[in-house]
Amino acid sequence: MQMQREQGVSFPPHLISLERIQELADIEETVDGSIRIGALTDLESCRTHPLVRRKCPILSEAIGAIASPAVRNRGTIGGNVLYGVGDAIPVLLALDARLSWFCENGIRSEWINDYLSKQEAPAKAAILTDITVASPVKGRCFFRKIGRRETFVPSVVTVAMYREMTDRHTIKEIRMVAGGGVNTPRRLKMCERELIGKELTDDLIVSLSAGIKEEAALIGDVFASADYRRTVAANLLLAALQSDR
Amino acid sequence: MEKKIRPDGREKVTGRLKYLTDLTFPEMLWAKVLRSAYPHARILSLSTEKARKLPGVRAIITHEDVPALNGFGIVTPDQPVLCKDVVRYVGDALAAVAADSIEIAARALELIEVHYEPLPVLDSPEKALAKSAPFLHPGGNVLHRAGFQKGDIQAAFSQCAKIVEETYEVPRQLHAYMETEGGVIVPEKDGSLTVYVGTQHGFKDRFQLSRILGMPEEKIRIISSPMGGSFGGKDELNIQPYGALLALATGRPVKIHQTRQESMRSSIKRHPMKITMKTGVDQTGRLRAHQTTITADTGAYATLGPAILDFAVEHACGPYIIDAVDTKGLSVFTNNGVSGEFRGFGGNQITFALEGQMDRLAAAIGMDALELRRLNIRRKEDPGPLGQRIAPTNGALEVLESAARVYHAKKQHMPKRSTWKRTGTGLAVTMHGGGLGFGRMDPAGGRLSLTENGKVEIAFGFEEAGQGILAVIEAVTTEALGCKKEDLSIVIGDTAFVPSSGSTTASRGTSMVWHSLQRLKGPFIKQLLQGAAQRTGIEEEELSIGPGGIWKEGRCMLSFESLAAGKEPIVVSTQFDFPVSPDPIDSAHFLYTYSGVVAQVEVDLLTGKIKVTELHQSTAAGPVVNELGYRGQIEGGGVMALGYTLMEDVVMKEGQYATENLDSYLIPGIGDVPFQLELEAIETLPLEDHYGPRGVGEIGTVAVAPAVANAIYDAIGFRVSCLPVKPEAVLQSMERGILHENRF
Amino acid sequence: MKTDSKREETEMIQVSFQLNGEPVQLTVSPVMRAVDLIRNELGQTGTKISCGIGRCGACSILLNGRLAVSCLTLAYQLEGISVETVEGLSDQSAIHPIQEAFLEEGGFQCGYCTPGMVMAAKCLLDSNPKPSEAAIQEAFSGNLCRCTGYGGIIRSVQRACSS
Repeated sequence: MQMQREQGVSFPPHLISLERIQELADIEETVDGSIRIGALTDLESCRTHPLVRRKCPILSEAIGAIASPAVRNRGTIGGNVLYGVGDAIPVLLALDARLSWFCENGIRSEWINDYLSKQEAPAKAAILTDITVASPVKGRCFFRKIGRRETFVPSVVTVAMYREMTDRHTIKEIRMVAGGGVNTPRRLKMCERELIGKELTDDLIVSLSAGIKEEAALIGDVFASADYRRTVAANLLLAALQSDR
Repeated sequence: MEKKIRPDGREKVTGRLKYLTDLTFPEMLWAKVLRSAYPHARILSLSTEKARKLPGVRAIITHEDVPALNGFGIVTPDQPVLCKDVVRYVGDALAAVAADSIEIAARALELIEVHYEPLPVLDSPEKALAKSAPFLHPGGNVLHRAGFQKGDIQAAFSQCAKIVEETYEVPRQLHAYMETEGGVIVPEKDGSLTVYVGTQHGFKDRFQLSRILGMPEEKIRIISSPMGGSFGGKDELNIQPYGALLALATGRPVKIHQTRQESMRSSIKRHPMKITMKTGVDQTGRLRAHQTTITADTGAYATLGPAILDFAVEHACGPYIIDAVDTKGLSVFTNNGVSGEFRGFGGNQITFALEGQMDRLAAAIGMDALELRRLNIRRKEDPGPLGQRIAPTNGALEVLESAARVYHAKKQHMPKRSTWKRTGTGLAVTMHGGGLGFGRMDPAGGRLSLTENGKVEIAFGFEEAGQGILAVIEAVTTEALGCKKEDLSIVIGDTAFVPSSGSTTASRGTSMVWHSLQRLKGPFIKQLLQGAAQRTGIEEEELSIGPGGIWKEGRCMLSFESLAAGKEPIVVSTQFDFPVSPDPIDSAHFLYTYSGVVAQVEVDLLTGKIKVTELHQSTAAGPVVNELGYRGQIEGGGVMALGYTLMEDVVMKEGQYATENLDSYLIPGIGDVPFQLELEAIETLPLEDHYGPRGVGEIGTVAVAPAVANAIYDAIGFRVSCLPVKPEAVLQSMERGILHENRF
Repeated sequence: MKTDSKREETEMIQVSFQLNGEPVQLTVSPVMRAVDLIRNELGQTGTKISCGIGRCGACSILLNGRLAVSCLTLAYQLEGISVETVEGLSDQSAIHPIQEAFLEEGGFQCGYCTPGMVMAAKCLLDSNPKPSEAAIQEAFSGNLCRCTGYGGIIRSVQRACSS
């Protein structure tokens, strides 16, 4: 919000700080082995938390690609999600995270994918309280962010993927995500369906390229065109599939 | 090379140094400047009535309040201080407010009512040159034409075995000094004005302000150092006139410190240029013909646009000897901001094109690119690029051979090939003129005194923007006199106390400090020793200057304090001009520095992104005065140039800035830079050379871009002709087939 | 910066915090930027201001020992915490070993990014006395320098951790 003020948008007339509510800023393991992260946990604490590092290193990696240490010390994981184009989102989508909201009539929970598809909270004046991710023990994860320089840079393309194989080397479960720039990261569900139950062959990988570009539907700006973003998203996801074949 | 700690170092690392934007004064007001909402418009009306009623507003100025010349510009004062009828870019000022707080000043700007009639926006030189284009200035839209011809170009082309033609485009670069423009302007009780605002030439600011305020120069004092960076960007006036007018209007000190957005909007930038080069070689690889046309987007006002174009024209054939040369340059007014002075001064743009041509030509005739350069590069006694006599040195060949050694070594140790990465190595060389050039007033000077309290005071009209002039002055003075640094008192950056030394630009500072000391030391030492001889009764010939005072046979006989006590201060001054060629060729330089750059890059085949993994710079600029300063200038210049090559571009859309701050205008971060930057300083000069150390403020920025571009070609076979290198273009080039086997 | 001056001036709060070990109490607008509070209200100008949007790190300070950009921190957020600025690292007689290393390796030129760099270096070395190349790159990823090209800064940090 301070950034927006610097760019000419005034603060709203009233601001309420939730920063002192400790329960909104902790990380714990749930009974089923998932990780529950309080929405007000700062990004750096989240990145370096032993539980996150051990059970969900890909999230740690993705958060490391956000801004700088100084900004991660202040910015929160909840803020990054609600921003709509935050760089933590692709991995959270790939890991099928759940969001919990505090609403007038109690706590409500939903898949992050559902929230992002409609881009609004499940109820009026709902407050995001925590984010829960299952530890991706059975599958492999991939994340990459591309910007116009190495670090502390807005994303041009961000991709993430979670993939689980069967014993017969076919794809059991896959979630592919592409975003970047003003593009809200989204699951590439049609491409995922193409892959389920199949064995990864060179032909299959090559044939997926056009589909990824189309489904990602990334739009461009003065710094990088739509075509470039889509091509890069496809290249990165396919190279990742190929490399862990 | 001796490693010396800078005199201003301790205060900088502790945060105790007061920059001029850190100053506050009692009763101080805060000011802001209203800039144009449109890149080109007629001003129909301007009302400050509502803003004046806002509590806490102390003064508002418009064009009606400029007492004398409503214009500024180092050479031609064509930029209005406050616009009256027309605005020509979004940084044009219409009004300025002084208020009790920055918030009130900001609020007051919003209450100023301006009605504009938008006019056609000339957002490219092509549009500005169209027949139907409105004139931005009475003389039309061409600011300046420049050219150089030698030999029969058509005949020479007809004899070439191969001709390469390419059009190169280079971007608008932001200086991005970390300290944005600002300071405090204080009205003094005696009616004079003290201006605490950074600039690269205090006396020039004084002259410009005097012309605007209608106030004698003697009544204006400019305190102009230290600065948090400048790189050419603070040489022209920026906020000084507004602060001065408001201070005079209110009778109170007025502070302005531009926000980054305000700075982006109003500051000058590096000239974007489009350069077409057509170059021909014969069978043996000799360069025979070289034709260049340059179109520079100079923006809305003149500032140093003409001189920058002249510099680019001069350096169009760089360090190479070519039979026939035809260079034409055009600097065009547009509504795209204002382009002006920037480290490298047109050399960076033209060198990118020229060194691109060299590699293309070598490939065209199947010759090693190094060999082609070796064959055509200037030798010691060769004339300069405009045919003028220059100070003879072997710099060009020395940097080429140094770079060649590094190039071969790096080629032998290429990292292992990985699936999605390719690496490449590239090389480029350049020569770069120092000083303002023939036919331009380029005076220098300094003053050396023994003060009443026994300090050896050395004074220059130079400015400290971070480049390390204080360290240079300290090193050169102690070396010339034989005293120690604690004996010195260095005075710069205050027109009340310094002599005229000319501008702190054009890599002239180090050079002029050294020249001054060569002139000052003889008479100064003589007067000191004469005084000491009188005091001590020892023969003058037996005495010498040493640490702390006057020495004889390894013993200090008389301290500077004792020598000075009860005597009139000893003062020695010098005034002279920057050395120029004996040949009267307008703008031609005489002292050049040379650079050879080797870059290694890694190209990501999936994304088209380029990472520079190694950067080595060989520099021939005479003896190194201060090792840390020299290294800092070369490394820092190199990284600034990496930004120019890979990411920096002030994007404008229809005359409005699309990049407003450092979130979208990207400069290199620590992760974009090779972890170990390498350099070699070639310090040797011919025995007969009397010109001493040359400045290295600019040379480190000049030849990096073409070295990186040539390395990209080496990696993936893509010829870069447009900066910054767009990953998109890299990726597209690969889609066209070069690396087809790796593609999906 | 666009601000509603009337609103921000009418509602003031009291904030108390430790600045370089000394207690400070001030009555300010709750949404005043910490950088303005430190520079203008307290006159401690070692903390610099450059981009105003957290992208350059010139205004870096330590809040409870953690690196933060003071241009994106608001006055109310300082309540009850320990604030450390570059002024806290040295006194008239002695400077911090990190500052000494910056001096000797030429880890600065214009010096305007330097206080932020020094604070980032302190934050790094406090938690990691022997940082790797990657750790150094990571620790300074939010601090821009336009003069040195980072070479001098890297050498300064390496010197500071070897001493």
